[in-house]
Amino acid sequence: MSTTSLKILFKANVPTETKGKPTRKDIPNSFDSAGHLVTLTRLPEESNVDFRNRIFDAAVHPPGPTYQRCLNAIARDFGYMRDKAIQISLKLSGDTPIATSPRVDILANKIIMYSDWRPDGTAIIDTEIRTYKIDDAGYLLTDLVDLINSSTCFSASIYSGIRTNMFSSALLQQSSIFTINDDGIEPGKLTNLATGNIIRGSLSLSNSDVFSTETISAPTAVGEYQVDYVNGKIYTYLVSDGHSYCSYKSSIFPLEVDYLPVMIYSLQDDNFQYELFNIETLESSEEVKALPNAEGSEIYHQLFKETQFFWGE
Amino acid sequence: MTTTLGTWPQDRYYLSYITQRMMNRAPDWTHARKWPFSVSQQLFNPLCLEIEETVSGLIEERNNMHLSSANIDLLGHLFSLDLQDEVDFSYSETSDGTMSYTPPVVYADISDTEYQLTIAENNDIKSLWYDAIPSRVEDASVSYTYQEVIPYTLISALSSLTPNTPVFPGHLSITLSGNSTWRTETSDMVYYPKVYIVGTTRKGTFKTEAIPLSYNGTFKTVSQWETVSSVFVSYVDDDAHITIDVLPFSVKEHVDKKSVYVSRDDYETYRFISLSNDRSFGSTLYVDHFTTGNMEIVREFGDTKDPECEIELLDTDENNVNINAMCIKENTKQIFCFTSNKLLVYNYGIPVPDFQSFPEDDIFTKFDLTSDRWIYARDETAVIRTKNLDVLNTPNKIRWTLKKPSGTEYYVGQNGSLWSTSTDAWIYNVGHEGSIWIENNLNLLLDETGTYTLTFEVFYSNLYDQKDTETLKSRMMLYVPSITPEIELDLSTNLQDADGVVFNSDGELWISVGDTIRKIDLFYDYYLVDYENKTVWFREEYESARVTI
Repeated sequence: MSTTSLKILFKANVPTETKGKPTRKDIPNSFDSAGHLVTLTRLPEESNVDFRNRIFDAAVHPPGPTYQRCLNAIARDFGYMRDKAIQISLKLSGDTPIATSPRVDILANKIIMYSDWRPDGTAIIDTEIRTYKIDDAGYLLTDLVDLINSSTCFSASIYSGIRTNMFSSALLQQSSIFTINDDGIEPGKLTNLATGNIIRGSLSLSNSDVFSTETISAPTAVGEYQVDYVNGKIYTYLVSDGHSYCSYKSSIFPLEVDYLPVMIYSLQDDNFQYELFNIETLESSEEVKALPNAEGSEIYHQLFKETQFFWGE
Repeated sequence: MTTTLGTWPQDRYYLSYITQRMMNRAPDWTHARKWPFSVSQQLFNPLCLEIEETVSGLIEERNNMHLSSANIDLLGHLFSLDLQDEVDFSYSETSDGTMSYTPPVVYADISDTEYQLTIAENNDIKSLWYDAIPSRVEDASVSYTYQEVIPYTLISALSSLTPNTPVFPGHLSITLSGNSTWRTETSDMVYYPKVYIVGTTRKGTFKTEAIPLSYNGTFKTVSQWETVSSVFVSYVDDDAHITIDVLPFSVKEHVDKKSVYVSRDDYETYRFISLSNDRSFGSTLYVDHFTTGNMEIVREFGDTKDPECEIELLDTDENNVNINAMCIKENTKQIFCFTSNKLLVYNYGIPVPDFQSFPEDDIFTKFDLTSDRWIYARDETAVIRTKNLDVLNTPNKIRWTLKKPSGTEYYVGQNGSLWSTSTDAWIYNVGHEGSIWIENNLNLLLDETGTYTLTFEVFYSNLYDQKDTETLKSRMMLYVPSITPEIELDLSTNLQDADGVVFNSDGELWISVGDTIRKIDLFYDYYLVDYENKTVWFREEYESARVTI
């Protein structure tokens, strides 16, 4: 455009000035389109980077009707992302964990740390920490970690960047234990299993008629095998009929515990019911749930108020 | 093929790469294919520049379809200020009768001080958002101590290293150097060098990614990594070195992602841009490309490179600068350069010399002037050769004239020395009477930036008729390119003395000062006017804005 001979034709007189705070207008782009595919909408003033991370999260932590998936969906829709909060490790004596068969369960109202947990139901609890109420010793993350560190078999640390005064009741319910099926075993060789910290009493072999005798030291006869439970190794004596398989339970350590500031409690959860009912001890020393306590009554009243019940159905 | 502007391929940089790609559909012997200054290439280049823009846009749109590669700087929001309905913009008529609105003057409060803003260059979204250069730079007050995931390490020592956790999640840059084996053949298999990254991605999945290493250079992972548990390689020389970074401050060579090098022999290969501080006068941008064939076979034929050009970097006052760190902003042609106390943003590419001021050869000239190239860096010596096209006519005498970029003209001696134009600078051809001519080689020191015009005057005289004389001129252009920044911004004390700069996977700008890295916030204080709807749009958020008509 040439500006050499501009000629002003008209100049308006009123009004000549406008002043104010510009308002933000969101303009949907391809991130919004990708979000719609996983039923996510952009939060007010959410950046491309944050929105993209929520969409990524939807792929890895999908929504659904289970406890975990419900949490995923609700938290994500509010813009809360799960974050690693604490790490629980095994204390060692030399190179060996102090706990014989360790397991950690993070439940609705408490954390139970077993020094020796067996699949047959026998268990020795190292430490049990209640995390549900403000007067519980481990209600804040920093207190929880202190308590874990004071246990015999376990230690814990808070990830950098995590606030130490967060509620530990918002740690995601999970267990250190998981099951491995059909891990291959080479005959006559030292086989590294998929994981270490094998739970004692949980290992079963697919052809137990071949491997029949577990030994403490290196096997010396057909049918003998030795298990290194800490390091996840199995050593078998040479047999001629090839491969075998084993299944076992294992505890993963260090256990990385995620945090979400959204909490879901199931009224059917035995541990949560422990918080809602008065507990009475029978003559047999068995603890049973009695009438709802004040908190339980309040919750059930709210539930009845909000939800239609038809007595007798 | 030689031309009066020198031999190619070095002379083509500012032609669109699409031009040569298109001309490679022409037969091998055509001028259109072989000569960048052919009528065909000149005719098609403007069209190809537009196609290049379109291709670039299509590539970006395709990337945007996938979350991992989508442009993180996509327009997602703007700020608007609605003007009163009664507002009536002024408008004017240009000399050609076109009516045009006069833009309002817009002010905004920045840190409690009112500043006048600049209208987006073309008053459109593209110039407001995608092409805009930063107008303001601030310390984001976020800093960390930086550690590479794998510091510069000998391959043979890699297995004993435990990878560091990336300072924040992102794509990893793997830089390989000193490797020379690019193909390992066994009886039935061929193996190529690879590096494997094992760890947890930003999505939270545990995975292993294999990254092919096809030359000594830098490669980016497809995944963004949160933690790295192990790194190992296959078929890489033990005495090569590797570095793995989430912020690749140490990378010197940047792949030109907006274009490739296209040869007339129909191969295409990567073009690289790097910062050079080898010149005594200051920093330059150095552009080169692989010597050998297609990108797919670089790994089999070595990774040596041919230089294309070197562009001098100047400040806004056109003085030389010493740049300490440089990076390219993704999806743009913007180069961010840091001196000790300033940020300079350049749009890369060679500026086009003023061809109109270059006088044409005499139409009947009997001499060509040739050189290996016609684009040089300052203080380089150009070697210009003569080529007699009419061996039946031998010159009586010759004279070299050089017009420097400053406009001063000199005669030039055969040894390259410059003489005043008041001297008699004709050089007699001692073999004239025997009809002998020996081609000249002129060495010329180019000590200024800009366009040089070299003239070769040839005087012919008839031995039998002294009045029958003729002087014919051949000319050649030599060019020492330089670019000035689009903007020059002062840096606060915290942001000074950067020795590295890079954009991370989230489009954030980070600098390194020793072991410390700092985040920099960039601001774009521009506005756009919607005259029809009486709205002013802003890119940045302001507490208050004022619009005057």
